[in-house]
Amino acid sequence: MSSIFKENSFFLAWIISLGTTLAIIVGLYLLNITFGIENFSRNVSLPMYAVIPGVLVILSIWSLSRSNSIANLPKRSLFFLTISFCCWFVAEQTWNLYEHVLDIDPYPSIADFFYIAAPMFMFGALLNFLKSQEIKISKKKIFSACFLSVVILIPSIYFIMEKNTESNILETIIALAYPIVDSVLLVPVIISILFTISTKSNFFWLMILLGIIILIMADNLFLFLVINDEYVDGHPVDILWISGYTIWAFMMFYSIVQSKTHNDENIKKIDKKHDVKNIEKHGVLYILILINVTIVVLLIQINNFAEAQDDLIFAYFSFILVVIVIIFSSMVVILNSKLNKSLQNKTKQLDQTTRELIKSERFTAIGELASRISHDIRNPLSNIQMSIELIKNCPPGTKLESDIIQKKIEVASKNVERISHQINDVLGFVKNQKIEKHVFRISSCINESIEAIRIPTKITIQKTNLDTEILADPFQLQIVFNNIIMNAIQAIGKNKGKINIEATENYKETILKISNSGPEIPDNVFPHIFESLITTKQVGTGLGLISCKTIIENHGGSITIQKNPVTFTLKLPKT
Amino acid sequence: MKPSVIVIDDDEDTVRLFCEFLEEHKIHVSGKGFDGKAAIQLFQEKKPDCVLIDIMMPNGSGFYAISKIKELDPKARIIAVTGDGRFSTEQKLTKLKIPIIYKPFKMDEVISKIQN
Repeated sequence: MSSIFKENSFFLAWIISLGTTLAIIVGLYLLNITFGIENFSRNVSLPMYAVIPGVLVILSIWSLSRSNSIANLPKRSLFFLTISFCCWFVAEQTWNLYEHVLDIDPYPSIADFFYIAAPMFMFGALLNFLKSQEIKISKKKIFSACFLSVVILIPSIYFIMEKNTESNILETIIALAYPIVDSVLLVPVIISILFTISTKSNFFWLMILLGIIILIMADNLFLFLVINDEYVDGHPVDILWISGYTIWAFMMFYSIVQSKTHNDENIKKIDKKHDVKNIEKHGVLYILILINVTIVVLLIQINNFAEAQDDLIFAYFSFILVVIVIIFSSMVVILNSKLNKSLQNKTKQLDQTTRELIKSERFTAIGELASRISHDIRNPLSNIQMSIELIKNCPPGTKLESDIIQKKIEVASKNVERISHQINDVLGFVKNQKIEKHVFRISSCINESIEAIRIPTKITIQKTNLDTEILADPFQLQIVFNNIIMNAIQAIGKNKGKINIEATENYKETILKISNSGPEIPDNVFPHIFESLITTKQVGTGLGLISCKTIIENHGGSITIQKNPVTFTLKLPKT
Repeated sequence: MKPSVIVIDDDEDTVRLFCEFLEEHKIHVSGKGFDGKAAIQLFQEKKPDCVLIDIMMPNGSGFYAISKIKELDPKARIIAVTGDGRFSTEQKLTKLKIPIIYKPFKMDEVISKIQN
């Protein structure tokens, strides 16, 4: 509750301060028009045009550095936004430099280049935004947006062509470039407005679009004014530009603050590990802000001092310095965020490697433990086995030969075999053996497996084409066969059943299919059949099939399973 | 003629049962020992046709005994009978060209290995 309240009160404060700022701007201009403020352009409009776009640039660079945590704002789109803001900032400053410092007519000049470039980047930002929203824009919408912007464009062009007959070609081209670029920008603006209004979700973009429309209006009005020579410094059309910049700056600030709250939740939950990273990130930013503020303060001091001597060159150089500092600062910020990203990636990699290492260490430890335990079990097991066999072989006529004892002994013997199979199963999994490949007939290996496992009499084994030769480690392949055949026998259970073993080959691999008539594997187990510790049997270790997979993959082959009937397909390369 | 063997294992039960078993299958057990040192001594004394030896034993491991016996008689026939399933053990024994029988073993396997 408190956070919602906090958010609401922040929003209220934000709206009020935006409104107040806009009101102050409008009020100042109106005051100037009605009463005429002394040195209005020097004391009011010039600093305003330096400070507000400057703040906008700083805020957008700041938000770029935390773009990962800003919702609804794709990074590339934010990047374009920032560049376009920078262009506007540079354009405004150059314009003022020409007009007020160097006393040259700023039209046409390099400032126009930046004024024209800015909407283009804004166009890029909007395209990226629309792309990220993954909406389907109907041709109808695109067509109507184009139509609308052309309708707005035609009178401007007509007006320029009519009035501009006397000026040179460059001036005409630049004059034409403004409305053309603006109308191109207008197309995605209209589409975005339609989209954001229909979804009612994107406050940020709505405000950015509002700013763009205000600026387009200002550009067009300005063009008419300039061509008619009605524009003077401090003209109310300036209100439009300055309010556009103000709205953007406030919006950038809003999104940064929102990202903070958004981010706080995330950080607390997920990102505790990367605390150090955040400190570094903020540290660099704070230092940058400190440096920038210091430079600005120093420059103001120097300019005051220089003004006394009426030396404009100071102002000029300080402007250049500010631009350079801003460019370098943004480079540092971007570089820093890149570095942070790569650090994050590296940390992730390191985490993964560590996890893998721990896993393999654990395997080694399990291996050691397993061999120790298996050794300790095998000795007494072997004694039990021998005792059983001695009882079985006892001479006729003795007490031990009775049927009951022989039956029980049979059960004991079977269970000894079961334990011994499980031990081999575990060891087969943890042993990381070297493969020694030979070429041999599949039948020889299969027959050994069948001999080692007691095949119940109700189960028949059908072998097809097993004289095919295979390149593999016979001992390891036998482990695979043992496991698969054993599984099949256990799946069939006490019923009558059939196990089919069939070999085929093509020019590059030998393919073995082992299927059985047992019941289907449950759907929830099927996808995990080759994972460790997966077993449906009471007597299984869950390691049999994973050992098979490991062995076959170590051979450079593959093992897969199909349903209906349960079929294991082994593919082993011939070379 | 009955082939003669010596049986070395640190587990007394194993030695006793194993010997009984071998005798039943008409293999003469000429000596029993419970550690590596005993194995070497028995080999020198009895000159058996075959040595059945465990690997993990106190007081001189199976490997120690095997290398000593091979020194005494490079042609000596030795079979390792072990519950030690580690790959490293298997590798070492393969290098020494010693056949291995894993516990719990099937008696036929032991008999056929001795007779070969």
